[in-house]
Amino acid sequence: MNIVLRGARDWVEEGLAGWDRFWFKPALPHTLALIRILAGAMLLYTHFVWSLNLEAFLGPSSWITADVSRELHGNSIWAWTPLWHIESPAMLWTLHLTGLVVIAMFTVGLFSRVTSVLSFLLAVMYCHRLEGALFGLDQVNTMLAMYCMFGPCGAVYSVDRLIRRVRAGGPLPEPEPSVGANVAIRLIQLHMCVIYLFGGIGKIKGDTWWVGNAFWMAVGNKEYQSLDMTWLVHYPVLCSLLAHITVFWETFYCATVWPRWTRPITLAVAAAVHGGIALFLGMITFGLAMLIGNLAFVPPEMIRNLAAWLAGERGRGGEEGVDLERAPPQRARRRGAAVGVNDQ
Amino acid sequence: MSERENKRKRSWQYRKPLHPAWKVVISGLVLFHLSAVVIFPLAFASHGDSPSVRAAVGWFEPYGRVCHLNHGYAFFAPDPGPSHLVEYRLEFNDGRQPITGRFPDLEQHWPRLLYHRHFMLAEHLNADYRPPQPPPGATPEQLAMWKVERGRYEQHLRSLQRHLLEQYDADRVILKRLEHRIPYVNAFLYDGMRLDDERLFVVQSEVEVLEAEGAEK
Repeated sequence: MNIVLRGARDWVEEGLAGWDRFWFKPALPHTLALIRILAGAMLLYTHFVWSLNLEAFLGPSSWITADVSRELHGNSIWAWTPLWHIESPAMLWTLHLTGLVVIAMFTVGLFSRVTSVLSFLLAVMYCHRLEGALFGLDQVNTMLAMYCMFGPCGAVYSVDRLIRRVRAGGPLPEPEPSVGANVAIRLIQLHMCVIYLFGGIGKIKGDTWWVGNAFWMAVGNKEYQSLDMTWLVHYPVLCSLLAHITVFWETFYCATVWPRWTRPITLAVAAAVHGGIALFLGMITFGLAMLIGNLAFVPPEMIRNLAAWLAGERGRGGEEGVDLERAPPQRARRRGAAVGVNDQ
Repeated sequence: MSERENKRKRSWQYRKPLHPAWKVVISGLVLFHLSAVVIFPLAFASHGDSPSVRAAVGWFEPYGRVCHLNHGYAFFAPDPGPSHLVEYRLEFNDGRQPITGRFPDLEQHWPRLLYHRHFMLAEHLNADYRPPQPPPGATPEQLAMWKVERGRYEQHLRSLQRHLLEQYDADRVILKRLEHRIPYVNAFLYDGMRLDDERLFVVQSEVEVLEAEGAEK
């Protein structure tokens, strides 16, 4: 009996320790900062495109009027948005342009703590009003904006950091790893897993994914098509193989993306699938947004080193010129302690 | 204490670790949030037929709506299907020639994202469609549901029609939902059927007419 109890206690303790490590180990902010820049740019573009037809989508006699938008939400008060009440075009444009400025500030990392929250609120506000014209892009946009506000997304690669540097009169120390950066990245990772899991489960219900002609159904859809890939129909073995790989990859993404050995393969398939959607199925924005979400699995150290390399600081680890190759023992220990988010 | 020492103490590894109470609070919030992330696609996948999922959705509904988390994530699932479009004809009492159009329209809607927004307008209208008659043998509960959903579809449709009437200052709009089917592989390969063959555009069951207020019939 004692053995069973001890085993159970060890199991609980190990589980709690694992939970603690998974969520509360500080991580560098570089991955989150890169996601802020890319997701912010996508959000900015999305909202810029609304400007091209603003009154047709948000004005008083829009495609989906405010009353119908409310009705499509089942008159739920939880979907409330101030855009339901704006009728004056001048007021609408003022709000919209202010929103664009806020999202631009978020993208470049100016007052990031505040603008990340405002950008998320803006994204949700538009989504609530624009029910009936939305698709996957909007779901990913709001998801990424939400998680950026949970962590220090402006700690690096931002105007905020530039301002701090100018105020300090010289190079700043390397940004500190933080629990916030880790929690934000973990949430993006898990949310991506849920998206793919249910995408895969949904496809398992469909015959065409089993028979293998789902690819034809996708490339043969004229409304989605941006590049003609119908020549693929001459290669049924390839088409069915791609369909099966897609279903397996999507369903098991939540398992294969974590181990170090399978992660690069999983992310490479993600790049191929979403690159294909972006290039051939006319959804360049959605394809790119999903790829931005996948960046959450790239360790911040890799992004930091890559950015340093691109900035011509080859062999130097940080944006402020910390030479990792020649780091003193204590520095090296700190670097080792600055655990990446993908160190499982 | 020197500035260097101050900096060192501010450094992250010298900070106190997160208080266990904070960890418990954050863990609780994370669990709640992740439950919401999972429950909505689960409800979508079970079509609301699972009593346990239905009950759970009720709990998370406010949070899911506020944070825009209530999605199914069923991209191209269960099967990639045909597209749905909307075709319209606008008529004028002042002698102007009728205008016909269709959305989405690649020639009219640019950039691609704007085209996709119009595409989604047509797709969502189609998804909201409910037949004008209740399902035969419907229970009172199903009948009530049909009434709500049919009413929602009609409002949705009228909204699109009113927009077109006002945009073109027209007196009458006739709107058709179209389904653009995908040719069978054999028809494409051996019969030379093109993706935009007219036979692949199928008019859905109803043709909807809306008159502008005050327009003479």
